[in-house]
Amino acid sequence: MAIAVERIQIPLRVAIRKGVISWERLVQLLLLVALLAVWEIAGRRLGDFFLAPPSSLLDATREMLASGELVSATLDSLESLAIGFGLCALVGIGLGYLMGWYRPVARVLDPFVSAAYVVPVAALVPVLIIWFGLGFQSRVIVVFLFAVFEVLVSTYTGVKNVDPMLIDVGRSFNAGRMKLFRKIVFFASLPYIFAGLRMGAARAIKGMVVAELLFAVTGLGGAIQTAANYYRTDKVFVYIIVISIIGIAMAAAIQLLERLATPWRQERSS
Amino acid sequence: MASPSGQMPVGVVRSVASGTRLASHDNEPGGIRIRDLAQTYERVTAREIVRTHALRNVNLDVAPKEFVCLIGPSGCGKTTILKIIAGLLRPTSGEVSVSGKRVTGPGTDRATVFQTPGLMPWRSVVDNVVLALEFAGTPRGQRRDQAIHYVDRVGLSEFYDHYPAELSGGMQQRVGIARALAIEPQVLLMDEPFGALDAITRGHMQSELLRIWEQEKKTVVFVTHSIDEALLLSDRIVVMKDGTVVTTVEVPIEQPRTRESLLEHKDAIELRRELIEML
Repeated sequence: MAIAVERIQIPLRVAIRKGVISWERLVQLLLLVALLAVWEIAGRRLGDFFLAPPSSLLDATREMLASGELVSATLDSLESLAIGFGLCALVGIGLGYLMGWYRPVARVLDPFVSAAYVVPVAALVPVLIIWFGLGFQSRVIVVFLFAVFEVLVSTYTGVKNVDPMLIDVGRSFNAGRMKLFRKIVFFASLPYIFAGLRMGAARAIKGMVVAELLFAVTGLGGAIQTAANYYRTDKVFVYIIVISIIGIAMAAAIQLLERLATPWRQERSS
Repeated sequence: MASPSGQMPVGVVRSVASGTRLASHDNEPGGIRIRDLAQTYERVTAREIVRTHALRNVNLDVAPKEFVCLIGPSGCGKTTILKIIAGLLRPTSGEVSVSGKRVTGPGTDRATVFQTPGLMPWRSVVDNVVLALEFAGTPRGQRRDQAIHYVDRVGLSEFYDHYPAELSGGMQQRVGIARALAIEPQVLLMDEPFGALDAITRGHMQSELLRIWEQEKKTVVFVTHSIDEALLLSDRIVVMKDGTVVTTVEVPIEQPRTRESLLEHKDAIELRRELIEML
């Protein structure tokens, strides 16, 4: 062969360093520091009541950790988030595949999905409270409804957009319908599904907080409501930061999963 | 070489007024027999029905281990014929049989090399070939060895675990060829396999294909719109226009041929001239 292929093993130490240190990371860090500085200055000028400066958040966090309210509110929220989002992934991907792979199912369900997609779920919360009460069940349902359509529509789109060429290839080698689905459609639609999961995760967190705010009794949303009632803006910010961290963690987890599931999509130029 | 009929004093073009050259051995393994094939696409709108006759009255016989090129301007129905032989498309009327068996759908006796290679981007070179073998029903234990054998055959031994995105267009098409050869079909269907490649790579791939074809004699139906490609590769050239076979032309030049030798070969020059006039 005229083309040379080189194989170079990368030592673990170098791999780790490359993964952690980069210019993007540095700029990210600088931006964060600048943001905190502006906030600190503004906070000190305006006072704790209006805008608690970041330096005061540390004390607030310590206090909230000691009393256990932070941990219990977070765990409470995470539980409904995990179950709601899990259900949403299951149903969204499942129904999306069904609609994408079986045309009649899509034709029947399409108007319903379109209709449900545009309904503002927050408006349904009062009805859900009437039906399912103020408990855990309602919150899971709100999280589920907030996120499920993102996942469903993405999956459906992904299956519909599978390159027909690849299906032709499969058929020409005599693949049965099940094989076509498991060996071609499933993989070809993965990028869309992960995009849907990423959007769905963000929506699920919003759903979780909206439900808790409206129920005003539980989880991080409820805790924010309570803290605001006592004019504790420092506590409110701590809770909001925790919510952001949950969002970042979920996005990172989904991204990691995506990398593991779709190793062929990594950049390769050096 | 010259036609004995006297109707065609010059050259080697044989008229096919009846549309057929009835070969006696098209029922043997690898033989293809096409009778009265027609393909019509229909688009129905509120006010009218638009019928496109992509193919009409196509009759063609291909002998076992014959290399036939279908040539014609784009839209003349070459690819449609190939898809029907592959079993990917049902003809509106008429019938196709391969090895004496009527084609009703895809089968492992035929394999297609597509214009764009159509590799699964999530599978490495070898795994792409393995997948085709899995689809074709090759026992699990045999797949990998067989795949590697054919990947070697097309000269990609160094690239077993590369993903398609890491390969050049020519290399991807080699994988497409390896994949088709790997299921060991009797008939190889090639749909402008080198159409998307640059002229240099195209030349290399043509020589490569001839080399492989010398080793694994199969019936090949090769769609192209390049006269030179057809002259270089085929035993017989089927000229198509507007959805039907205009004529078939024998290529009376012995293999192995090279592009250089064709430039000076008397019959080749004559044939090329006639084909250019026809197309």
